[in-house]
Amino acid sequence: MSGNWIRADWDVMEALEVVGRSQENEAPHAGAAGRHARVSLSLHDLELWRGDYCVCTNLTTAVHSGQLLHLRGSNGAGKTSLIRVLAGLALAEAGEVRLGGEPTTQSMTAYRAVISYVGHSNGIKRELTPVENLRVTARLALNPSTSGPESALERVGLAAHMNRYCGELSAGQRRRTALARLLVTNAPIWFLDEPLVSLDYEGAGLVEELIREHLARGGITVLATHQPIDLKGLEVVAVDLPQGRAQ
Amino acid sequence: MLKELLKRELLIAWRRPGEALTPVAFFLVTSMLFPLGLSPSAHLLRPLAPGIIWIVAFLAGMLGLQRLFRADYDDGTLEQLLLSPRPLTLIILVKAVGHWLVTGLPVVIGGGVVAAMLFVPPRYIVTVVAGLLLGTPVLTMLGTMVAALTVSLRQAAVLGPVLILPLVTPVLIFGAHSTTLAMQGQSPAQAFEALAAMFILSVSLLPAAAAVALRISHEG
Repeated sequence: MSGNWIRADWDVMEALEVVGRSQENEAPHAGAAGRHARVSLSLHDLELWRGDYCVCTNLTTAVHSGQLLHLRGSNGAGKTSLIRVLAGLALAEAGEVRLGGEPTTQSMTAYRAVISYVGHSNGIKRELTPVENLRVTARLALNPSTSGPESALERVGLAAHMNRYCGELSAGQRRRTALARLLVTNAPIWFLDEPLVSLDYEGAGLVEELIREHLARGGITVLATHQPIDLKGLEVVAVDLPQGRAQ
Repeated sequence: MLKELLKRELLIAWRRPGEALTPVAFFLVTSMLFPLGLSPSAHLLRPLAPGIIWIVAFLAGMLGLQRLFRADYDDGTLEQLLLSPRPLTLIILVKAVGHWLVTGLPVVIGGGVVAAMLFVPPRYIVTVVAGLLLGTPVLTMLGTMVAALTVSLRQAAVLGPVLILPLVTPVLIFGAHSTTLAMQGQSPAQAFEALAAMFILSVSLLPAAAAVALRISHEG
């Protein structure tokens, strides 16, 4: 038991060290405007099954700072299953995910310190206001943005609604609150699973802008969507998940 | 970080008062049914009081426990907690403490009222309250572990009580025994020591077990 606690504390210290080193090597973090340290994310011989259905096998690819990994496929192709594996929320049958060449399973805490995830569910509490939700997010992050939740909410167009209960907000506004979490955590790797759901035309444009800014700062985005999104001019590594095996 | 998480738990409970008050309301109302159903006689109710208090306190605790992780699972905040670089063990401990403060502490206080209603002599009411103060956190911690294990299961409402029943039996025995001993003029110290040992063990071990259970059940 005590060993687990010591290990957990050690992992947090290690993760803090990684974040600290990146701040020394790169331009200092100035909230969302700071540059991220160089990172790379790679998949090696990944094999994933969902029941009897093979989502992918021998999937090997890599993305580096400033690049976007686009998981493409129709409904049921397994995009969500794959992105959950990449984020460390689920296990693959075989293969591994590596951060900077090191398997993420060797230090999940350090990995969790550099990722931010927006999934199908928004991950916000309806009983709390957007600011209250993001305040907890900031506390849980190891390297949160210095500009705070209010600034993140302003960026996603929720300045006028930051003190209303999330339960009173529209589905699109709740989605924007979830997107603001990406800015608050200040993580270099974003996982976005169908981020355009519930968003209007302007909201979809916001997502594109956020992704562009993130990549320009040296971040990585892993995007799973079947909806049209403008990725012109971005360095995109595409993974197609047809009915059968990944290419 | 821990303070902010605890504040969040309490704030959510405050803004969802119906859910938070259900366990203590159940505890008080169900306990009131015994004098009505059996007999309002002190001679009959007094020896049964310790057992009634502890069984109803356990059942009241079970009411809210299924929601401990289920609400977070449904709205996606559980995923965010699992992806946090902070120790999940500590996060679970904070959630359990918040849950006990909202649902367990009112039952401890209500325990004094119920004891008086069941004709426990006033000088032994403090024994009832002290026993509940030591025992209800253990019930909460055991419930937390079972809730973590069953969070993604549809049958959690049925499976949870079945899994937890053998685990809580010692707590119920020593909890009820402490008051019975006191009412018989004997020292309840040994029963309290057993409850204290269970309290220390559960608070130090079960959050880590619940963290593992939560990751396993969520990965599935």
